[in-house]
Amino acid sequence: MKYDYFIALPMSSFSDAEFKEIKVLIKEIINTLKENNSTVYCAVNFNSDAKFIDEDMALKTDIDALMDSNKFILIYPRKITSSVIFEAGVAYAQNKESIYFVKDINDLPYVMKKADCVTNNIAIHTYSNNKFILDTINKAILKGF
Amino acid sequence: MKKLENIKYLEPQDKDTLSEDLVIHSVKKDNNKLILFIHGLRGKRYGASSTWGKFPQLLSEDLSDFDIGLYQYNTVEKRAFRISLSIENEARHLANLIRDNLRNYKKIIIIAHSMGGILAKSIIYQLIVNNDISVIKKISGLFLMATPNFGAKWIPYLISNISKDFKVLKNHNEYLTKVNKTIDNYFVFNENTNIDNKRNLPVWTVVASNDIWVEEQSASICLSSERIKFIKGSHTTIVKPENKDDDVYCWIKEKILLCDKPYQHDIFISFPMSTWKTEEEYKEHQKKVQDFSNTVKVNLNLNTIYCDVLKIEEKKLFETQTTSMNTMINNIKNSKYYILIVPNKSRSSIYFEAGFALALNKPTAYFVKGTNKNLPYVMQGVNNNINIIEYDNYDNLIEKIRIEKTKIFNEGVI
Repeated sequence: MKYDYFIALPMSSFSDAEFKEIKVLIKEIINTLKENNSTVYCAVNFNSDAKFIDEDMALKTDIDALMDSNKFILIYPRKITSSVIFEAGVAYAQNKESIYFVKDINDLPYVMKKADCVTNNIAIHTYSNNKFILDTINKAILKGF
Repeated sequence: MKKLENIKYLEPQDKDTLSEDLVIHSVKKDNNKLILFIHGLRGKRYGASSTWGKFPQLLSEDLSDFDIGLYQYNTVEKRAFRISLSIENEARHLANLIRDNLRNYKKIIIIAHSMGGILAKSIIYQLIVNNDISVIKKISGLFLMATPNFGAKWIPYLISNISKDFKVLKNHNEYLTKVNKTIDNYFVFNENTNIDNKRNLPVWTVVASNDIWVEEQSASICLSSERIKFIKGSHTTIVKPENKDDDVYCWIKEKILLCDKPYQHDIFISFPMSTWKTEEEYKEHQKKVQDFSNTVKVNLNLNTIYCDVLKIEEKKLFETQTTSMNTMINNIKNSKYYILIVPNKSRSSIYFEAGFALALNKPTAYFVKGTNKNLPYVMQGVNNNINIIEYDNYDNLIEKIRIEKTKIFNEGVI
């Protein structure tokens, strides 16, 4: 596998202010994972204010990158139609170990709400702040995620 | 080729003088499925010393929707005294028979014994080399019974050139390696795993416990254990089931049925359920989905469609009778094709289901109201297995099915 982790987040759902904040979080997550010698794929553009690396490129490479990743991290802050739901389905079909971070579990489409009851491969966490996400990922890494 | 039509399977009276290499037994008119038997070295299709014993008759009784074909060709000493072909040319001949004389069959399942398995694989090899895709698609199953897939160790190098049969049976010979490699690269050997650029060819092998001619390793090839049946008996007894309770008979019959219908449903349809706010709205759209489903059935000539909306009668039952992830998974896995209908831009489980179907490489059609920009962006990308069809309104959606028919899937419907 080319990547150890694939991070999915519905970028179009964030306001500009939120996006700046989430970028800091994603950078921290990536650094934490990289400190553990892991490779990470995330379509966030860190070099400009644009949300995506390049929308056309994302279209072609996201799924390839996901297929080529071992584990899946989903950050889903609100009820929104997004590619991340599609990506979660791909990850699930491929038995990828996954963590979903949601603000409210009811924001998830219905088949995903109880996904953690169906398989040990998926953990669902509700979060209220970004620090929780980072702490949880750190704990998960210690447990072998 | 000779076709015998009787109300039950009967060996022909002129069986000893029959010149036709292929005889088809048909107990029902207009069958479009065939089980084709191919014997091995010194094999014989009819009579007391036939390769198969009662096997064809038993299958004909139990699976009357299938015609039974018996192929006869010369081997060993018969090759010496008559005009005969090498396995490679025999395969070319039989591949042509399948393409031309058996063109009315939609499904052909091959049961081959010993060297007959090499002949069967050589036929498939020929079809691949000639790019006869429409014929390849018809080969719905292959049973290799005590077949020396890598050759047989008892053919020493020195005698391998004295006979056409020995040449092809020589251990790890060049021809067999070429055939095996080509087939390995072309197919995935099961009925319902979709892998990019590979076709499905369900293959099963039967290994005889007391086979002095074919080693277990050569007979079992690289298949997972559930596709290999280890049977008590010799090289020649395992292909002669005595009755319908016989172990090998039951196993092969069960697998033939699986080849015939590898999927529980023809199509899984994902349709957003939670977006309809009232019972009336739900009912109205349920009717439309039913209508859509019927149109698909009729125009694509398919029988079984799974869609949650058609299972859950009332919207209020939807939240309590939540379709579990397991149900969704099993039903998508057990469907040959996948259809997604996107009537609006709402957050829905349908995208999770579509992702699941993509990962399983299901031949897929997305019907999107408006433009494909209404899909989440990663779904807008082109994938060989996915056809995106835009529609304006419900009538237009139905019309698209009527016009496009099987073309709604990029590869058509098999």
